Amino acid sequence: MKKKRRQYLMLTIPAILLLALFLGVPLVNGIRVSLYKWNGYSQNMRFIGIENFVKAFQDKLFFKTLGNTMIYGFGSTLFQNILGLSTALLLNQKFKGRNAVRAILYMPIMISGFIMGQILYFFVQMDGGVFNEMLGWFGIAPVYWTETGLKATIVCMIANSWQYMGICMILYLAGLQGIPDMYREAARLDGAGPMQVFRHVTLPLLIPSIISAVVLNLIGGFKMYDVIVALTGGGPSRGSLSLSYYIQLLYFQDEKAGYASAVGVIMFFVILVITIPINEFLKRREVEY
Amino acid sequence: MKKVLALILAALMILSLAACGGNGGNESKAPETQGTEKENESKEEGKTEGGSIEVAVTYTGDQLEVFKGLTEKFTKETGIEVVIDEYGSDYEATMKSRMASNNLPDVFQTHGWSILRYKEYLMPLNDQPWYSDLDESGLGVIADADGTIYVLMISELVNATLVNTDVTDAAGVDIYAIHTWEDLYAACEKVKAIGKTPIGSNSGSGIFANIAGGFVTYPGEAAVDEKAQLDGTWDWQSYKTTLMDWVARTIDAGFWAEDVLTRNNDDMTQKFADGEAAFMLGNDPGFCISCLTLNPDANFALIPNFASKEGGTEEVNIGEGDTFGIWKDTKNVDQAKAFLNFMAQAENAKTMNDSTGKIASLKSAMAIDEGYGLKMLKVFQEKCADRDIFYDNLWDRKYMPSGMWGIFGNACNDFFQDHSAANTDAVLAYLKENYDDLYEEAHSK
Repeated sequence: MKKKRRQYLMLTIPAILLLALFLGVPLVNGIRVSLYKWNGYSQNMRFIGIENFVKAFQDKLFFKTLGNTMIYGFGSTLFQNILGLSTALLLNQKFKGRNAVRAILYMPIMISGFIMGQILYFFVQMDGGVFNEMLGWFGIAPVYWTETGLKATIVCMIANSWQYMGICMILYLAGLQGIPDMYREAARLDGAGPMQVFRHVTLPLLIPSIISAVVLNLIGGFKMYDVIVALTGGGPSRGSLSLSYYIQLLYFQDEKAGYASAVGVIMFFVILVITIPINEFLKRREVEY
Repeated sequence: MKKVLALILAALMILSLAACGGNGGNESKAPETQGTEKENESKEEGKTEGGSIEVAVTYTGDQLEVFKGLTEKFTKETGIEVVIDEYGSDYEATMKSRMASNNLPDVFQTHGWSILRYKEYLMPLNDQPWYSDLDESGLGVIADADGTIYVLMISELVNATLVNTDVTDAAGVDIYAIHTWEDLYAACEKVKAIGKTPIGSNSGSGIFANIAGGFVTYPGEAAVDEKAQLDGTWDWQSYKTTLMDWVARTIDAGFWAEDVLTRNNDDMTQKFADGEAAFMLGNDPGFCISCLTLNPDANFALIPNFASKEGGTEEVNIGEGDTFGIWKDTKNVDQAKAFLNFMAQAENAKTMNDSTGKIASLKSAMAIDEGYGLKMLKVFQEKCADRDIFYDNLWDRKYMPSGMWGIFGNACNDFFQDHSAANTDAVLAYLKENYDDLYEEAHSK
């Protein structure tokens, strides 16, 4: 038994080494840089202790960006899961053209987020955008879809949800197809209606898929970057920035690499603090079958 | 089996999400690694006959194709291979990463920052044969206090006010009669009256940075705070009472496009080309060349930036155009110098300048320059011959610490969104805080 455990341990070493190299080293370096005042390229760095962290908690834009990141994380998760589960339930039924619909709904994922943002920009553009042209057909005045930070954030969140909804759809579809029919059959024989079957049989058995979808969507939403770059450029007034984008701007444009690293470290812990309890909460609701 | 399939699918999804979710930092690292490999290759090959150099450029699209054509010609003539790093919009970020690791390309462009940002990584080039061919007008921009230059500059960046004369003619505006920002205000009223957008720029960095000198720095202006700006003691109050006040009045008057907060470069180019806007503030003739590709019949002019009051300074800003510097630690010094010599040849510099629309800064290239940019400048010089035009480096590059460009963009956008008294003070505080911070950073070495 001991020998087997040692063998298992040996097998994990390559993965641990890779993780240490590509996650551990940058993380430690990021924490180190966060303690310095540095412009990101000079050979001179000045140690300032936790000043960058103190500054982050006094920075209004940091909190606004943190708020946006929560909208991206939770908003995208909510939208993607509702849409993904609905389409998965629909596509789990047998009908003609089902495979074609599955492929079409999955297609947006294959495009890079940046290109998707560029395409959607032409839809939400104030002057001559597709949506406003369509509103014009009905005599409705053009809408400035991205006029404020909040509006722009919501537009980016919806764009992201639409693009990656297919991931949820596939996860739920796989989960649904993994549930043996006999459980639903038994419930129906006991007199359960379709909603009751869904709520008391299908949904609990889908918890493993829900865990994967929620955690993936949350992390994906928190890391949102490319769609925002292409769609709003983080504007107006840096009002639709995510933390990832804010870090990039601070580091490379504003030349505040130390502060950017401090924001990065905070972001790491925020994601950790949010995703671990959610994961645990959902795991407790997992049903064995 | 189904569970296994579900797991495999889930794993695939994780991988695809991870691939989609990469941040900009990682994206910019990729070419860096590529660059390092290429550099190692080039260093090894440098020992062989001909050799190879790595050249990092800001060019994209058609300009990149023209540059590639020139490098092929260079390889044919010298046998030296050129590996081009095409960093596009990631250029600055990537170069900052490479500076941090002290691992730069053999030759690279400095996009306006040869002295303030890149000097410590560059080789002095005053001893090069083309040095005497550099025109006086651009020397001040690329030379440090000792007169040492670190780059070959094949073109100058001219930054002033662009005009779509089809629009101003239709509105009955005499653009050469505009001397002050108040004159421009009056001209904008006329443009607005014919249903066109007076100012086609967006609320980006260009407004708060490129036109500031004419309000708060140059001789005879409402404020002459040059000294304070340069010694880090500037309190920014004059910025509020002059530039911000003028911009606020133009916002209230409806002189900007409705989507000023979010219009991107493509939008601005299209609208200016189509004659939907009359003026572009703080811009360069290269912008008009892009417009001409969309509307070859459009007519444009260049006029100086304006004075804040009668008797003030009307100015044209000159900045680094296309420059090439050599990394001081390169192992391919001879090849890199040969490349700069090649780019300094009049016909090669002209080929590149024709593509970028920038104005030649080598005397030999000036003699044969037929580019649109120089044409615009010549017309401007002829029409404004009776005026005392002040030429200076781009304002933010001379009077502000490095890193302020993005801050100006953010501040300007914020101001356009809300220019109430309270937010004006908040924007000013934001500018001052970052100026103090970056100034301290720049002078703490």
